Amino acid sequence: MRGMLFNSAPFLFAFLPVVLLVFFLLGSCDYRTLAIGWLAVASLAFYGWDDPFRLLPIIGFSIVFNFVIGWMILRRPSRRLLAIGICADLLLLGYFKYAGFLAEMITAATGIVVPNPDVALPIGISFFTFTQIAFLVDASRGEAREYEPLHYMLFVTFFPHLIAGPIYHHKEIMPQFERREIYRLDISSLSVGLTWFAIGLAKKVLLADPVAQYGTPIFAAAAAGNQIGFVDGWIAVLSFTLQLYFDFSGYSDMAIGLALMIGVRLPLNFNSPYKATSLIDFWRRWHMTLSRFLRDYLYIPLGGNRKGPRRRHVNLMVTMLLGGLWHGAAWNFVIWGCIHGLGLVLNHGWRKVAEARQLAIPYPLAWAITFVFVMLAWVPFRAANLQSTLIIWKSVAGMNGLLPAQSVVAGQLAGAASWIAGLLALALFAPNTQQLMSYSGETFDRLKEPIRWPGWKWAVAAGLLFGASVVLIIAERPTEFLYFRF
Amino acid sequence: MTVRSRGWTYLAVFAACALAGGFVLAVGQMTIDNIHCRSSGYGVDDFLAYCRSKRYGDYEHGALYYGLEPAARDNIRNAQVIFLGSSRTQAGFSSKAVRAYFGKRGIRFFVLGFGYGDASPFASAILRRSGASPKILVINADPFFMDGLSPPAQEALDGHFAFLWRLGLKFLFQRVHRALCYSAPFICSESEPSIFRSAHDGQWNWIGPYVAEKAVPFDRSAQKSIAPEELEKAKDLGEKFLREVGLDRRCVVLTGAPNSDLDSVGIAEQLAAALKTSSIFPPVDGLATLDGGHLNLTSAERWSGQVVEALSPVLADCLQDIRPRRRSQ
Repeated sequence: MRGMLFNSAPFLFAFLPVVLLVFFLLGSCDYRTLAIGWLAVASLAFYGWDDPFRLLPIIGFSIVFNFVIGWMILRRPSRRLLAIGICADLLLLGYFKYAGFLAEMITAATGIVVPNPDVALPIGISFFTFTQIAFLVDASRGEAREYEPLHYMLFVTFFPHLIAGPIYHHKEIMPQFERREIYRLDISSLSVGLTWFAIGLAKKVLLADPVAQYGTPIFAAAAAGNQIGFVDGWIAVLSFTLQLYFDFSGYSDMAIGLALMIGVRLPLNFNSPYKATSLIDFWRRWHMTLSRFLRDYLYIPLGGNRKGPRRRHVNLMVTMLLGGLWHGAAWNFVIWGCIHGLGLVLNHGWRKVAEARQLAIPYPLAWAITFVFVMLAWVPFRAANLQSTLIIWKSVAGMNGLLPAQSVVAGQLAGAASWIAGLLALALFAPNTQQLMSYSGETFDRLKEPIRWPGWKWAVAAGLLFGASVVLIIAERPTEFLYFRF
Repeated sequence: MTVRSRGWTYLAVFAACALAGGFVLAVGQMTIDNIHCRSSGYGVDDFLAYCRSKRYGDYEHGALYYGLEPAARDNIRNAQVIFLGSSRTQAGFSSKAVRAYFGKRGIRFFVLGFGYGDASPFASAILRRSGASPKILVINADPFFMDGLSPPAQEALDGHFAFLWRLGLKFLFQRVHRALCYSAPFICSESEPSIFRSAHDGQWNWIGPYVAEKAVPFDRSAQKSIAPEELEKAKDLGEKFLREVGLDRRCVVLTGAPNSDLDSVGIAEQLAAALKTSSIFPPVDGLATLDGGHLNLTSAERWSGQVVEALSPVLADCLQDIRPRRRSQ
């Protein structure tokens, strides 16, 4: 089950044109409520594309429940109601995402066989659950107000962000739908949105998918228990590092572009994360909306850095551990979260020492340490299990020799090296999408700036990229985005 | 230029570049992936019907069904004699003897068999779609009258966009491939087995481009017949097919191309008797095959020569109403 994909012909040539056409038609006739309803219904159709009878009741229940709780909180703020709402959301998420993991853990720890419920994870549940938890918290803080069920439904289901983010706040999206201009076709917005979308599509189809062909078989060989050599190990790690970035940032660009087509600004999600020179810096650039969510709704409520350095370290570890678990119910994600938590604790510790003693790591070394750390941490994130994680880690440490008797990518070394070098250069030296489109990627507020004219060169470049991507989509089956599984 | 007109111009440039970018990449990728197909068989009327390469595979099912080779479509439509069957038909009737026989008599013919074991359902579809009105059908009935479609035939009949897109690219690729291999032969390794097909008469050119000429002797002991229930079904489907075609049964000729796998002659004889059609089974000794299933070139020349010679009375009967067209003054 994967929902409708942005990188599929039915979405590009049927769903999107019809949704935009009807939305602007209704908008131009001043049927704004109908236009919002249309967008919400279309978003639900987008979500339930593969399995409507299973997916729509789940998201429908979640929307109705959270709307009612939110409405009650807005009428009379209550910590108890907020707790009930959050617990119910986490229970729903927990049942679908963590019940099997929990059953396995109990069985392993106690020897008592707890049957695995084996429920399929509804696509996007982590994202729409977090979006609604944020709404309940914001409502209790008086930062969000929503009494219109249709508007609330659109807030949750708005199709550009529904399945894999960016995770947004009610206050930064829904006020935009109150502007009249949103409902009129703005050709400048449409052009910029299309350009942004084309860049994202090209990142996914022309960059992420081709480089995956080198890493995927090596991770599969490790999952089958085969020993991996040094060269294969590094190809696997590097190719996945690049695939994940271009895949997920491509998805985010497409989401931002789609929303821009109707004049809605979504928050940015990536800001050249592999250019980071520290782990703290990395988390300000990678999946920025998730980092913001974890900071605002977990790290700060836990006390943040206000209760001394020791408590801050504990808070960091807890936040990253839960951040890891949010990605998936498996020990691999726990390890990934722990590694990053530990890395952040060390980074903060070092920063304090360095400030006190006026020490500084040279920029290239700081970058290299950060990049290698992040790369090695992606191994448990990608590997099928702990055993294959260890196999890959051993291989990159050179513990299995330079090349095994049979290299998984034998005969493809030159191709792999070229792809990795090219993509690495793009990730490290090229400007990111918002910079290309003349926006600063540093803050979310910059997207409130007026839409800028991208220039004729972008009409040509984005058109070429779009055409080339579409050809590959038609020729080969479109592939799922990596973050769809979370 | 106003903001609005600039926006529309931007979208127009975007769309034009998307089309251009897509076109260049698609044809370029197709060319790179299939550059090793044989190019030696291209001719004025010959197209690449099949290439065993990464992205080419079968072309002829879709090309003939959708009329992508206009000369072939016209020649099917205008053919007086059409040969139907599987790849055994193509192997058996792709011969100089057949060309010479019909050429001498000024009779238009088309060999309309297909690889992948395709039978009456696809033949029926293609006859209908191309508007063919043959006076004589020669069917390699071993048993030919069957249910089901091969994957390429199914794809052609489904006509999904992705299939049509690939088909269009294969059409364009041939033009690029031909020009490239003609002007820079060193980049074409000519290593992928390929089958060329004549748009003029449908004959295959495959001995050489696809398989080497061989002489595998017949092994009659290995020949299988078909189960009685299958034969009954073939009779029913045959009745249906022939009713749909609407030809006088005397003008439908069943035959069986000899091979080691199937008792084609026996099967065709039974079907001809049941369907009350004409039949031709020339006694030709010493035939050999390429692979047990298909007549080799030498044997195809001899066997098909005998078949068309034996066809003369049927031609006389069924083409008698055809008069040469009087040229308008």
